[in-house]
Amino acid sequence: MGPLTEAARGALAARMADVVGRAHVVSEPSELLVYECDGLTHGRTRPALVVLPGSTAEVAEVVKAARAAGAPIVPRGAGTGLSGGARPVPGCVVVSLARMTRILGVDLENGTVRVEPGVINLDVTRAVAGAGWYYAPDPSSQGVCTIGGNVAENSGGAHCLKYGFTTNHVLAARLVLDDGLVLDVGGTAADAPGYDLLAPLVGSEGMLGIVTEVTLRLLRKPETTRTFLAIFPSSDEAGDAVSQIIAAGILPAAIEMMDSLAIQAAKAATGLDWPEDCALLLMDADGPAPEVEHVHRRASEIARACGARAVQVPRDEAERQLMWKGRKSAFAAVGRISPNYLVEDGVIPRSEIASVLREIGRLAAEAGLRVANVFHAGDGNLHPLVLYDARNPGEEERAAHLGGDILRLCIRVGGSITGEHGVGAEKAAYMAEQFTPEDLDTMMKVRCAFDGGALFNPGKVFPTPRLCGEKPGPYEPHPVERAGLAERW
Amino acid sequence: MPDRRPIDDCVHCGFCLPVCPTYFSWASEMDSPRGRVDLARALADGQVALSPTTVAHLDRCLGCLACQPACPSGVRYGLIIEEARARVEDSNVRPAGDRLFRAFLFSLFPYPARLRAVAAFLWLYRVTGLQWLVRESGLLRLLSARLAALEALAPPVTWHHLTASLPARVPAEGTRRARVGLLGGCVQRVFFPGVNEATLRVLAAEGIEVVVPPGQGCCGALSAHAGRPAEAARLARDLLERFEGLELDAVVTNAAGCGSHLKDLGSHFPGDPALAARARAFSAKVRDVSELLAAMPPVAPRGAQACRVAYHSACHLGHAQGITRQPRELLQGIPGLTLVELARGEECCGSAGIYNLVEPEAAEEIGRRKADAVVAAAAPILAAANPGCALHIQRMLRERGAAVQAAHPIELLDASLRAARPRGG
Amino acid sequence: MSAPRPGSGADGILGVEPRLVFEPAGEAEAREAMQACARDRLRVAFVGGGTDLGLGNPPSGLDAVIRTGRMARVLEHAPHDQIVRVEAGITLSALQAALLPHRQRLALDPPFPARATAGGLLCANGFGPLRTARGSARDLVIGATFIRADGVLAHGGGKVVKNVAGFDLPRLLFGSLGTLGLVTSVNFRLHPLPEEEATLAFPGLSPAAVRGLVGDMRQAQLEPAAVAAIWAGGSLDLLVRFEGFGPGVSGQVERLLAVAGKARASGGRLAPPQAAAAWARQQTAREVGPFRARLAIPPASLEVGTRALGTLLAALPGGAAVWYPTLGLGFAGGAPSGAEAVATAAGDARGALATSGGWLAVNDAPPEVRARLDAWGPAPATLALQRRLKAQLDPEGRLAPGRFVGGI
Repeated sequence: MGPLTEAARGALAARMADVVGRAHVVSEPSELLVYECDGLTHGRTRPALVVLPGSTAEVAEVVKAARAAGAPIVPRGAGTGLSGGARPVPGCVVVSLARMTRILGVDLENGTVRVEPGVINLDVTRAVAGAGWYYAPDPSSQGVCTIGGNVAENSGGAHCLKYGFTTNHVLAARLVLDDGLVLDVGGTAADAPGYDLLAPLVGSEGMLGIVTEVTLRLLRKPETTRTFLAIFPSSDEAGDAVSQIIAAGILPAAIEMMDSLAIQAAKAATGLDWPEDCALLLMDADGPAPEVEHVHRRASEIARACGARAVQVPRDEAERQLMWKGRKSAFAAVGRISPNYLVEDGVIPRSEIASVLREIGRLAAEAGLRVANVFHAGDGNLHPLVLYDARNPGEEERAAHLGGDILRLCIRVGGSITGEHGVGAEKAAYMAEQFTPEDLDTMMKVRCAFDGGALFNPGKVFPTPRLCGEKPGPYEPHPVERAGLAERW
Repeated sequence: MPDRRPIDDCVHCGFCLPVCPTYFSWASEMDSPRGRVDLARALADGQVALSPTTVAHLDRCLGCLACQPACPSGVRYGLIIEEARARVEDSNVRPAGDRLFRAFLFSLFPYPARLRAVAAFLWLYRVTGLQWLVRESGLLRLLSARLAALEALAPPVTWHHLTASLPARVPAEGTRRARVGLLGGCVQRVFFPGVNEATLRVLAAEGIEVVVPPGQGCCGALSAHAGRPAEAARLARDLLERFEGLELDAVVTNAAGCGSHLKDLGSHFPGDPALAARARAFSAKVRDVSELLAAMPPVAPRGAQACRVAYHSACHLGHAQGITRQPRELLQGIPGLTLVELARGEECCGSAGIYNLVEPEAAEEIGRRKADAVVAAAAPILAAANPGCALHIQRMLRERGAAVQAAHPIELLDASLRAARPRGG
Repeated sequence: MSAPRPGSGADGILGVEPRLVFEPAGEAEAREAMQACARDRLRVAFVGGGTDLGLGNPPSGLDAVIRTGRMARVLEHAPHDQIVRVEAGITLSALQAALLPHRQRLALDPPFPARATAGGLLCANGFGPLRTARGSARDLVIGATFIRADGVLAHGGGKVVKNVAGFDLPRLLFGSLGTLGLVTSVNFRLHPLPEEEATLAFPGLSPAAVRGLVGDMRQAQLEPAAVAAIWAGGSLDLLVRFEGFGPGVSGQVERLLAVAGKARASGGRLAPPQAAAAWARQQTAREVGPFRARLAIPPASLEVGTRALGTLLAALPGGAAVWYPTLGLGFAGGAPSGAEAVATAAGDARGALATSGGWLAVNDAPPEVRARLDAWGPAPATLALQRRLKAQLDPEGRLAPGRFVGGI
C-alpha cells in the first residue's frame, strides 16, 4: 500500500464524513499533528486522517472505506500506550474509539458489564462500586486508559498478580474484521465450543480487528484491604522480602517496589513524606477480614526480618489512596526529575529481582546514565526508567542502548521484553531475540487468519513483517531421510 | 543549551484527558490539554502557522485548569495557554467581527462603572418588558449566537444592584483578630453586591477588620486569561497601588478568578523586576475568603439553616488555587445544612471568564451538563464561589426551568450567622 | 527416532483405528514423528491420558496417532518463582507428587488425575471445582511449545507469569483438541498448598436455594476455593471448600454457617475423611459413562442448567450429575435407557440452554447415540474465522480431522 495522493486523501475524508459526520473526521495538517503519537513520543508520524466513529456500524463502514482506499488502519483508544502501539503508520487512517463511551449494561447476577471500547477503565469500577463490585485489572493509567486499549494490550496493573490480566477478565467481544464483518466472540457462558478466539485477540495490539463492544467480568469487592509500606535500606533487602513473602504461601493483592530515584519523583508529584535513600515496598492484602489480618501480620514480620527499617500502615483510606497515588504517578512524575526518560517494561523471574537490579545499576553506570526503578515486584515486572537529557549530544542514543541492554538482560534470565506495555512500534526489534523465527511465523499465521491483508496496525509487534501466504523459506521442516524412515516402517 | 520551556514538560501521558471538559464533549485530541500543548509547541517551533483552525482549538479551551492538578509531570498549562493566546491576539488571524466583539467585552468587563451602566440598562430592559419580548421572539439568536449568549446571561437586575456601594472600613466585632483589605471585584460588585456585603458582615463577626480601598478597578484576570497581557499588567498595577502601604494581614477576595490571578501576579511583569517584586509581595497576602476563615477557629455562633446545598467547585478556586476543602468545611459548619456533591463535580460549568460569551455553543453544552448534575443533586440551593459560574449556571438552570437558587458560600454563612443573632440582624 | 508401531484397536479414537502409532520419548522425537506425518501427509491425532477422547466427533480419518505418554518429565521447577515447565505427557498426579515436597500444586482438579496429562489439561480444558478460585488451565498456562502440522516447532508465552510479548499462542491452544498442533511442553503457574482447608456440606437444597446461597456467599464477601452441587435425585447437595491460612478459613466457615442459617439451609462442616469422600463423589459423578455431556449457561441461570441435567438424567437411569454454580458449568453421565431417548433428551437440553446463551457438548457417547446427536451442536457464527485459523496452522487439515466444531 503506497501513501494516498492528496486527491485520494480528500476523497477518503469525504467518504468518512458521510459515515461518521464531518465533525468527526480530522484532516487538516495542523489538527493531525496532535495524533502523531500516543504515550510514547518518539517517532512521531502524521496520519492521513483521523476518524472518530460512534457505533459498531460506523466502525464497519470506516473499515470498508479505508480498505477500499488502500489505507491502513491504526486503532486508537486514549493514546496512553507506552510502546507506540497507537502510533500512526505513514498514510494511515487512525480510528479513534474515544467517542464510544457508553456502558451498555450491568449484570450483577452474572457479575458482568458490557461496555463500548472508549469507556475509561476506572469508569467501569465507578459504575458498579456503589453495589460493591469492581473491575480488577488496574493499569497505572486506569483513570485515563480505555477498555478497548486494555483489550488490545492485555493490560495488567498492580493487582494482577492475584487477580490476573485483562485476558482473564474479558468474556466476550464484538469484533469488526478487515472486510467490515461484525463478529461476536466469546460469551457469558464459559468455554463455548470452538477455538478460544479471545485468546489471540486480547493482547493483539490492534492487529486483528477493531473491538467495538466488550463484556467484562466483574469481581465482588473484597471485604477488607490492608496496606503497608516497608522501608528497606536497598533494593537487595526489598527484593529478598518479596521472595520470602511469596514463599510463605502469601498471595498479596499487590506488591510494588520503588527505588530511591523513583521515590524522589513520586514525592515531587504528590508531596508525600517518604524517606529517600532507600527502597520501598508497597503491599496490599485483600479478602475476608481474618485472612487479611493474618497475611498482613505475617508479611510485615517477614519484611522486618528481611531488614525493613520501618513498616508503615496508612491511618485511613485517604492516606492509603495517597500512597497508591505516589506509586501510580511515578512514571509520569519522573518528568520532574529528568528532562527526558525512556520507560522499559521487562519481566524477570521474581527470584532474580535483586541480582537483575544490581546488573541494571552496573549497566547504567557504564552508560553514565541514571535509571529509576518502579515495578510490580510480585510478578517480576520491572519498569526501569532510563533518565536522560536530549539536549546533551549523544545522550538519547546512549539511553536507547541502555534500554536495549536491559531488555536483553531480561530475556537472558528467562523473562520477557514486555509485561504489560506491549511490543508496539518500540520493541518489535527485540521480538527476534525473545522468539525464534518459527515462533514469530506462527503468530503471523494467526494474524493472517484474522487480517489477511495486513490492514490493521501494520508494522507493529513483528520485526520483519511478511505478507500472508508468502512462503517463508527458512521455516520449512528439516528434510528427513525418506529411505531411512521407510526402512523402519 | 536552549532553555527548557513549559511546553517541554509534557510527556504526553494523557492523564489530562478525562478531566478536560472539551475533550469530554468532543473526544478529539485537538480539544484536549495535551493536544493544545502539541499545537502550542508546533506554533512556537514554527511547524504550523496560525490559522482559523488552530485558533479555534485554542479558543475552545475554557482555561479551567482542571488539567493542572491532574498532571503528574507538573506541566504549567495555564502559562502555556496564556502565551499561545497572546500569540493569537498579537496576530491578525481573527476576523474583524471577532476582534470587535472581544474589544467590546474588554471595554466593558474590567470597568465597574461601565458595568453599572449596563446594569442600569438591564434593569430598564427587564422592568419595561422588553426582555420578555426579545426572549420570546428569539430575535437575538437570529442575529448572533454571541449576542444571544450575552443577553441570556444577564441576571435579573434589581434596584439594589444600581445603588449598592461598599463602606471604606468595617470594624471587627469583639477582639480584633486580623486586619484585611477587601477586593471588590468588577462583575461581583455590580451584579452580586450581596456577596461583598455578606463578606463584610461575616469577616466583622469573626473579629476581622476590613478596609475597602477606594477606586478599585478590575484585577486584570479576564484580560490575562484571554491573551491580553499588556492590558492585564496595566489593570493589575493600578490595583496593586491601591492596596500598597495599607498594613494588611491579608488581601481578601471572594471571586475565585480574581484570587487565582492575583496569587500569581509576579509572573505578569516580565520586563520590570522591581514591579514584579512588589507584585510577589502582594500575591503572598492574597487569600480567598474561605481560605482565610478556615485558617482561623470560628468565633461567631452559627444559626441553623435546614437545607440541602449542592456545591459547585469553581475552577479558579479548586483547580487553580487548590482550595477544595475550605469552602466545603465552612458550609458543613452550618448546623442543619446538608452538603451534596455534584456528579463530575470538579468539572467546569462552561462560564470560564468570557468563554460563554465568545464560545456560546460549547459553553452551553458544558453548562447543560452542569445543570443536569445540579438538578440530579436535588438541592434547592447551589453554592458557587465565583460570580461568572453563578451567572452561567443560573442561566442554564433557568433555561431548563429548574428552580435552583445560586448563592455564594459566604452568603449562606452570613445567613447562618444572622440567624444566630437575637433579632436575626 | 524410535520406529512407529502398527496401530491396534486400543489406539483407536472413537472407533477409528490408526495404521501407525508413534510414542516419542521427547520433543526431538515428537518433532521427527510430526515431520514424518507431514512428509507423508498422514492424518494424525494426539493422545495423552485418553480421558477426553470421547469429546467431539470421531476423526474423519486417521493414519497415525502420537501418544505423549513417554514425554513425562518435569523439565524445570522454580519453586521461588512458582512456575513449572513439564512435558505434555506428564500426568497430573505425577506432577502434583513432584511439587508436594515444595508444598506447591498445579491448581487444577479434574477427574481421572492419574491419567489426565498436562497437554490434555490444556487442549481438552480439564478442570474441577477448584476453578472457582484459581481458574482453568487457560488462567494457569504461561507458556507452551507445540509442533505445527508442518513439523515446525513453535513456542508461545514464556516462563514468567506476566508477559504480553507477541500473540497469546498458549491460550489459543486451550480447548483446541489437538487440531492446531502437538503440544510438547507446557509452562504453568503454580500455587502454594493451602495451610488449612475446610469443607461444608449443605445437602438436599433446591436449585433455587443453591443459587440463593451462592449469591448470599458472594454478597457476604466470602471467597470459597471450590464449590460443587451434586445431583441427588432432583435436589442438590452443595459442597463448599475454603482454603488458606487457619484464621481465614475458620472465620469464613463461621460466616458461611451464619449466612446459611439465615437462608434456612441446614448443613455443617465435614470432618476430613467425610470431606474427602464428598469431593470424590463429585468427581465420580463426572466419570460415569458411557454417555457423558458438559453443559454451560451464564451462572445466574442456574435453574436452566440444572433442569437440563434433569432432562438428561431422565434418559440415563442411575446416572450422575454435578453442577458448578459459581462457574455456570455442569456435567451429566450414565448409561442411556436408549440411544434415541438420550439423543432426544440431549437435544432438548441443548435447545433449552441455547435460549439462555448456553450450550451442551458431548464428552462421550456410544456410537449409536453419536449417530443421532451432533457432538458440538449448531455451528457458531465465528465458524468461518475458526476455519481460517485452522487453515493457517494446518492447511492440509491433517490434525485430528473432523474432531472439532463444525467438522474442523
